[in-house]
Amino acid sequence: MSIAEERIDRLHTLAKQAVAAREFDRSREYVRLARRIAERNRCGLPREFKRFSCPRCDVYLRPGVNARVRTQDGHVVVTCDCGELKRYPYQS
Amino acid sequence: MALTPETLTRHELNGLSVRVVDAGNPDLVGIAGRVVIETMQTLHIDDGDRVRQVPKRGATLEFALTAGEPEFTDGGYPSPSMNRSRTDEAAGRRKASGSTFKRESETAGVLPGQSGSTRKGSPDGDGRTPSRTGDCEDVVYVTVDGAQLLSRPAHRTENAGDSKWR
Repeated sequence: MSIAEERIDRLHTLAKQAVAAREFDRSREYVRLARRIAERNRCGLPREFKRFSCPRCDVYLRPGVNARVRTQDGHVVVTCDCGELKRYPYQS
Repeated sequence: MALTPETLTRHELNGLSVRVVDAGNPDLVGIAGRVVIETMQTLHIDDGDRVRQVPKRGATLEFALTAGEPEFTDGGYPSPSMNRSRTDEAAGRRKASGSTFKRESETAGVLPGQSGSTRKGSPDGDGRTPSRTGDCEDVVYVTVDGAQLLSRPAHRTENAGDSKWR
């Protein structure tokens, strides 16, 4: 595991904790930094990170805090407090 | 490539415990806490009371690395109130680091000489001084010259550290 991937891993944890502490702007900083590292090192982001970060306002999504998770026909919809929807499929 | 004293300058600094050993501004010396935000030229350190912004240039920073995952228990975040409540929960680990903080201040008497020597010898030395304390074998203190960290946070993995082309 390269340093870049490990940094993303740490930032993932930090972003999660920041949202739990209601420090949303701080979590945005972490998510943006992780995305920047991923694009510079061409390593992508973990699937959980992609699914639980808002593509519009960059905040990490934590269900029960700032996200709503609903299942619809064949896909899960995660709604951010800013109104952005993030969808991903599931196999029933 | 785990977070070791050798890779620290290229690794993630957010979330690490740090203490300002020396700084251009004497008011900043002695700040201790978690790094919460890193910018190109500064670190924001949450010292439990408020978030202080410390310039990297001219500062000597002492990072405390815990052997395992550095207190990344979920739900725990270095905000003052949460920190205090977590002290009761994760008793073992937090207590250990509490004692190391005491130790840190003890070693502070020793370290200025050490850090001074690294700063003097910085042209050839790499400025990192991993000092392993006697009793707490799971905490390693790494002294870093702040000028080594001067880089955009996302670029530091590539820019900082030792070149392979020596």
